[in-house]
Amino acid sequence: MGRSAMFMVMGLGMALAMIGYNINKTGSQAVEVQMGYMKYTNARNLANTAVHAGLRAFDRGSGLPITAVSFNNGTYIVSDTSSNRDTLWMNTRGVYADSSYVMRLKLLRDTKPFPGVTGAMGIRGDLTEYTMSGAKCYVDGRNYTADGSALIGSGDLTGVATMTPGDSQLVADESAGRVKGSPPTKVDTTTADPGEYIEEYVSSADYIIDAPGVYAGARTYGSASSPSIVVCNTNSDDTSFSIKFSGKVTGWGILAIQGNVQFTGGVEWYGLVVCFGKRNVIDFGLSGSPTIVGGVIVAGRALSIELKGLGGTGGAIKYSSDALYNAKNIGKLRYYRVVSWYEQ
Amino acid sequence: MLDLIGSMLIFGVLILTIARVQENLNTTLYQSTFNIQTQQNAIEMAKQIEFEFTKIGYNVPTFQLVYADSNRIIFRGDMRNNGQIDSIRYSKGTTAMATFSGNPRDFPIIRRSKVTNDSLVQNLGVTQFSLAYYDSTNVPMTTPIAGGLMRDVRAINVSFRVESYEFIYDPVSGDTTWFAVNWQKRIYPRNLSNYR
Repeated sequence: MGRSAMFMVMGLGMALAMIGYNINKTGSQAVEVQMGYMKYTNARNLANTAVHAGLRAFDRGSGLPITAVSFNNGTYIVSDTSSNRDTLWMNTRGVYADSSYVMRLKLLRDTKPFPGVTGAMGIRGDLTEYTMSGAKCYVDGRNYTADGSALIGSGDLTGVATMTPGDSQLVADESAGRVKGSPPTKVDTTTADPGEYIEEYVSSADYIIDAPGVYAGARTYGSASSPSIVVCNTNSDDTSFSIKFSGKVTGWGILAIQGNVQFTGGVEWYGLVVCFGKRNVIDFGLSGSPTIVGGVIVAGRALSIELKGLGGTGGAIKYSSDALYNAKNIGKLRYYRVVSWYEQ
Repeated sequence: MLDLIGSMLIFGVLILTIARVQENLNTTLYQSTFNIQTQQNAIEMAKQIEFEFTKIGYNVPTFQLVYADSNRIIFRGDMRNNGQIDSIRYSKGTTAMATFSGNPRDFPIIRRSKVTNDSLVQNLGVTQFSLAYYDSTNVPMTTPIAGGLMRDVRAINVSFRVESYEFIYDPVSGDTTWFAVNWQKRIYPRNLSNYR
């Protein structure tokens, strides 16, 4: 009797032990299942992070491939990158604990929409006044090199493009031979409305000058190899000059101007100049060789344009497709388009 | 005699107690088992959806999405990155098809592949399954998506609910409980923007 009871108790104990073991085991399995999905998800997020890190390094021209960067308790790797200027191939891997996730991408580097330039100067708006002061001041629609030193010999545009025949005649009457191009003046209503691009330029600007006043000293914005975006926004249509550069201004890229800005020390700009506002006066100043190489777009209602170049060499606006191309390809104005994207 | 009766009484009480403990332990074991099974099914479904939906349109320039509705989708893509374009269809089965499950609400998810030319009936305990589609501005699109608007789809929101095959009975309260996992994700197939 006692032996039977003992065997029964031992059997019962073993059964309870087995059940307890299975309960613990399923609990552990549940945790492993949840952890497994979490590791998989984290590895995927790390691979995505690697894509952004790789693109940033590529834009900055540094640090590719990227080997084993620790991030968020895991690591990511960017490997097997190659490019042919505009197309980028990239493999990324995210590793979290014992899970890894791979992405294989092919991206096309494209440019954001850029305003169409129809001549050395494109006027989009109703022109009420147009004056050119200075015998040596001129506008040239022939295609120059990016530095404005020589003619390319092809790709010439008009000197001044206007919206209506009346405006075109006004420009021609005032120019007195100081506008050159193919033809010197013409009606072209396809000149882009810069208003569609101003927000982009303001948000991407490298320099924003919005405080009225005199800015002394020579200033350089960007370089030929690294053009920049400069925005001068007085937020005012006051006819008096509110922003005045007393020293020489030199720059490459995009110069966006609202209101009246005076360059008394002269200006050399290589790229696109966009003027928007009711009254715009581009005053080249009295010294140096004031030059804009690229293109100018002037927009607004009841435009009054005055080109002043009273110095010994006058002032010049020269059209250059190369200078405009450099401005169009400023890094901040480029984006990546997915050609193909394969995950895991 | 008295000793015998006393020992029998104690033994009876002991047996009843042990039986009750055993019943509770069994219930706990069933709960744990159904819990882990439901989670595994949900994760299996989620990983499968993510694996295939992220490849929609890969190496396929046109007709990436063939049909898009709230409970059915047909898409094309190179799923294995081997140059072979497959056409995959996901659709809901009926509750009558889930014969082995004790859950009256669950239905199988049917996956059909054109390359393998077969249908995979997956009984994972799914009780809800829905698809929603969004354009490039994250505005929801009306389903079924009209053919001309198929190229505007940029994101697919997948949501499903997986429940246990059997319910858990609580002997104390008398309630029945179905373990469940809800999963939802908005997937952005990167190759959909290449639609030409």
